[in-house]
Amino acid sequence: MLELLDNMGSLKYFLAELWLVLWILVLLIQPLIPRWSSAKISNCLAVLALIGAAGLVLALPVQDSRPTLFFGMLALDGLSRFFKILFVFSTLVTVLMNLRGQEVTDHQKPEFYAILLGILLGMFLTAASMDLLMMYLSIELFSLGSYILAGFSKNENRSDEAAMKFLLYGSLSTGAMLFGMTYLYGMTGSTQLLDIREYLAASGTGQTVFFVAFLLIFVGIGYKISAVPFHFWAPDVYEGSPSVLVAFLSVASKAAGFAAFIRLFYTTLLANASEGIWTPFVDFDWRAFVALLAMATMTFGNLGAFRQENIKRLFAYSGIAHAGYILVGAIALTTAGVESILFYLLTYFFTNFAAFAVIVYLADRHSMETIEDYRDLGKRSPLLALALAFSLFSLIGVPPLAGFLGKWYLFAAAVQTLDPWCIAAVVVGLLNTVLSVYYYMRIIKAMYLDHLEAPPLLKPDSVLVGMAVVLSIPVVFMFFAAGSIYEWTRSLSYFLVS
Amino acid sequence: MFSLTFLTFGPIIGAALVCLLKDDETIRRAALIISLVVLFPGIAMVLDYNDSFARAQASLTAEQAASGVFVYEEKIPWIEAFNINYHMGVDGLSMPFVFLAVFLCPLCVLASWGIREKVKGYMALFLLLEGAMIGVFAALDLFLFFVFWELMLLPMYFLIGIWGGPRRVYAAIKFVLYTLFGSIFLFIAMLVLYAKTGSFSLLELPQLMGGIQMTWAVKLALFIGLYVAFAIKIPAFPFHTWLPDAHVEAPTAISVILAGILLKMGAYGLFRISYPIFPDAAAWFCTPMAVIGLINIVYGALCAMAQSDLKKLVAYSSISHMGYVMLGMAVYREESLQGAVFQMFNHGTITAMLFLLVGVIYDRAHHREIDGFGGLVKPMPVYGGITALAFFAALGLPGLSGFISETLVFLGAFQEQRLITCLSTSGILLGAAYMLWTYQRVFMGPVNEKYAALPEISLREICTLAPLAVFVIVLGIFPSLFLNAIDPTMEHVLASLQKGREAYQATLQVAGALVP
Amino acid sequence: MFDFLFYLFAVIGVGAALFVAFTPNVVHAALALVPTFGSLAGLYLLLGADFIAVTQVAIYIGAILVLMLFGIMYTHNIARLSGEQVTMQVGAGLVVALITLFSLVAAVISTDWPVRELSEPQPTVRRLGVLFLTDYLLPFEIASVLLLIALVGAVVISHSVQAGKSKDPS
Repeated sequence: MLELLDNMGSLKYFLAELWLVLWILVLLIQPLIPRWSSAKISNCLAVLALIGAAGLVLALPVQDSRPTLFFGMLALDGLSRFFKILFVFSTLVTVLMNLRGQEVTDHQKPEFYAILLGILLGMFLTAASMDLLMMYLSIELFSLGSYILAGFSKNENRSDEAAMKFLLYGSLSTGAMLFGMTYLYGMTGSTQLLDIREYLAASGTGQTVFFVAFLLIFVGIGYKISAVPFHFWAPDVYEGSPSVLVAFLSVASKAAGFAAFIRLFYTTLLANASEGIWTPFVDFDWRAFVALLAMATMTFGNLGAFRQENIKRLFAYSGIAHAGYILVGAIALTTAGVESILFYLLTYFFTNFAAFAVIVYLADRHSMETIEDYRDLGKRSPLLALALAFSLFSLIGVPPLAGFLGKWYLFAAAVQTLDPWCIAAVVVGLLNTVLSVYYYMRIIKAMYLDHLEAPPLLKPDSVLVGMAVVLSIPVVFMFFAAGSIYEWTRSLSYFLVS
Repeated sequence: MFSLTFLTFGPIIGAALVCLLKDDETIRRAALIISLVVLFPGIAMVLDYNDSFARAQASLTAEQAASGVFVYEEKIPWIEAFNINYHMGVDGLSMPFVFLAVFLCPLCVLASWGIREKVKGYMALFLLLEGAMIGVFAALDLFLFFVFWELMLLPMYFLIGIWGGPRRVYAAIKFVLYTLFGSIFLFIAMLVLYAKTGSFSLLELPQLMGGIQMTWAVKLALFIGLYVAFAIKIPAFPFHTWLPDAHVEAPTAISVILAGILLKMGAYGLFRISYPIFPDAAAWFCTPMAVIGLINIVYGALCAMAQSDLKKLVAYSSISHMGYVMLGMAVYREESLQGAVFQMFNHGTITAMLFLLVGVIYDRAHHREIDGFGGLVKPMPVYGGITALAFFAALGLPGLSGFISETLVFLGAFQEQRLITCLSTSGILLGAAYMLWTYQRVFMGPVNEKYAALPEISLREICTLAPLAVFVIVLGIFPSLFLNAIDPTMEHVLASLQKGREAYQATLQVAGALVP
Repeated sequence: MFDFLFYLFAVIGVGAALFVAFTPNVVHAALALVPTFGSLAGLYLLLGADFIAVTQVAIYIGAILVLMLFGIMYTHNIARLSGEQVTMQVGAGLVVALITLFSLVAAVISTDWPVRELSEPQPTVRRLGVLFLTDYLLPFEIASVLLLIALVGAVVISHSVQAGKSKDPS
């Protein structure tokens, strides 16, 4: 039975979040103190805050009783733990990438970090929310922060456009989500996910309204994971926003969307029958729905990437395509599917951040953003080019790199069900993999096969080059320990219903 | 000593070591040493193979031997959640190609001595490629096989794309796209097989397949999917169009690897994966396979005849020669199956020679137009002699290895596919025609003044060709050296294929229709 | 009586909202928000949600609307600008809107909504206050963090605009 902790009793499991709030305040006060107002100190504070938060998250006691905190508002389970770890390290990597960055000017750094910590807080809560109200608030918290940060770039016009588009589309989609949530509340009389689950299990079938409600909720979540047809914002926002933020959004924001996706849909909508197979309470073909969505998402993502010249735009489309691949794990409707989604997000974390360490370095220090700018990078900076090449191959899914393992688990989980929709989605996914080779290879070609007479020199930056290298090490060598890493994600894939 | 892991990962670790070196000459020598370090255990394994095999066969019970006898086995659990193992081992089917790979690579390093640009990258990628190739032939786990199969793509892309000819980028991407497209089917088949049987082991899968329900349509779909994946590599008509581009643009050593080893992987995959797992679908596919083999033989030869570029000619002759392999595989006779495997090996040595020879002349004249030469025998008599040997081997002159394998294929095939075999023999005629015609245009006739002073073939180049020539002659005279070694394995393959054919005919009779 | 008032507020609310959406004049649009928000407050009252009705009036009409009007008046010549009311993709937008409308209406009509008997309205302020400090303490606090972030964001955006302006002449 679930243990329901009250407000005071919950606090000891809530230290990481409290810690973040504390440092948000510290970072807001810091520039007001004259002797402390340098950007170096903000950098230090942000890194300290995140290392502390990471420590607190990792030290979070594992509870067999699986309590819910604050009268059933938050869950304390493997899923939330996994995502918190992912989010806190994403943020840490983002801050480290920004240490000497120019795109976010020095005097904006305290606010940048404060809002980034606010986003992190929102993501923490999103991953743990067990209540519609809480879920909405936390999604709004991290979205709002992202909208603001999208406007931080020194490139005023593009950045403003990005922030504006992000905000307008985003408000519309979260509005739709809120609307869907009110339907759920109206029908079931509760905002608690577990109550809604009970109601649906007892008398859910045959009511069209649930279908509409979940569809509306999906609008909000689909926007976060940039699933087609809610993906229009991604290219513009990726192009206009500061590169570090794009790196962060491409990993953490997508992961947060999937956290909400798993939490909401698996908790409320699906009964976990025996052997880790899930079946929907509500009477509609969930598999067909997610399969069509996944196929459309990866296909449009990959087709969109074909003609892109700007690397950040290209990565926006690549991110859309990968959201489609990840959705394949959700078609399976099995516990293995959930596990594979988590594992994929982990591989995506390393792969995408390794790529973005290079992209941020070139965009931020040298304003190099087009594929043409990447020509001959193999000679100009062998380490960076190698790191980017490995992460691109990993994004394609070339064995034995991390991206291949991720895709492998996803597609294996889907095919294991032997359901026609799953197999169709896997086939489309694999065809898309071949499509994607073309545009990823364009970057590789520019880096290694095109030669410049007198390539402009690159300024060395030990932090970013080091990060690119460090992050691409797991991309290359993950296969050694693929089994045990998968076991680790599996051990964290339980959540409160299961 | 007899460690397939060492053969596979030795070159890969060597690739990393090469990256640490500075001087170009040191790098070349290091790469040669690394490939030789791998070669010697390879030779030792081949010499020891018959004894080891006999011992392994004796130690297994009849039940264990039913899934095939393998030597030098290594098995470590890798991803336990999916029952994936790191499982290596060789039998009579894979040993020749593991050996071919370790044998060709030092020669290719020697042949690449002339590479001037980015030597470090070239040698590192080349060694990585070597490791992956050996891994493909040594893997006994489907997942592992797939990993090595795909891993070959990366070095291949760069080796063609950076060090290739004028249209290298196009050729490289075409190669990658074709192969990846094929691997999709391999990937799906692998997943479906796992979902049905819960195993990736190439030893267990044939047995497990007997115990599960799978509709004929699904079986056929998977078999055809796998066939497409492998046919692209062979390359079988109509999936062959990447080959001429890749061959023409690739640097000499890479052409050698492509023709010598990569093309074998397609046929090897059919033998190792498609045939044992879907023996009944394979029986259904016999005649189409023979027809495709025929098309490959005749069409490849006709295309070769029409080429004006020497390297393209060799590329198309490869297509023609691989047709014999497919024809041999389409017939369930001991002779033809042995012939097919022998032909694969011989094609590896003969075509490697041909590409190396083309490379020699290209390095000197900087073009490959057949009509642009003439009378080359005068300035380069030794070169002309070796070329004659290689050409005769390629056209199937008795006494050389190519003759034996082609004859074996025809011997077996004639017993079942008379018409197709008769038509296929025209390939021998066509082969002789284009080979001799080409030889005449390049080496005979009046000396082209431009090339009257071409330097004779160098010692280094002879070193790359001589070992291959030895194989061509020795195996032509003593084919039993090879055939005896692969015989037990081929019997096992044949037995499982015949069982598959019986099962197929049984279903035909039950259904009473053409397609059950 | 209840039904009559409900439909009255509903018609006023929807009608005014349509006016807001379709009038080309910004000032008119802002002013038309008054009946929109007001009728919503009326609906809340009908449902016995007195506190929400009061905050609706105080915050939306009293604060936000006034702020918007200030904004409009401080903007040069905005009253005379007539913003474009129709965008490029009219057809596609119409299709999507109609599909959404249809599915929402279909869902509402076909659903067997749980109906509760109207009880005597009771003051809600005290109960809300208690809930905010007990069961809903966490959302309440998180909402304040959200507002803090929004506040910081507003400051940063306006600040960066000023910084941009001061840079321009130089």
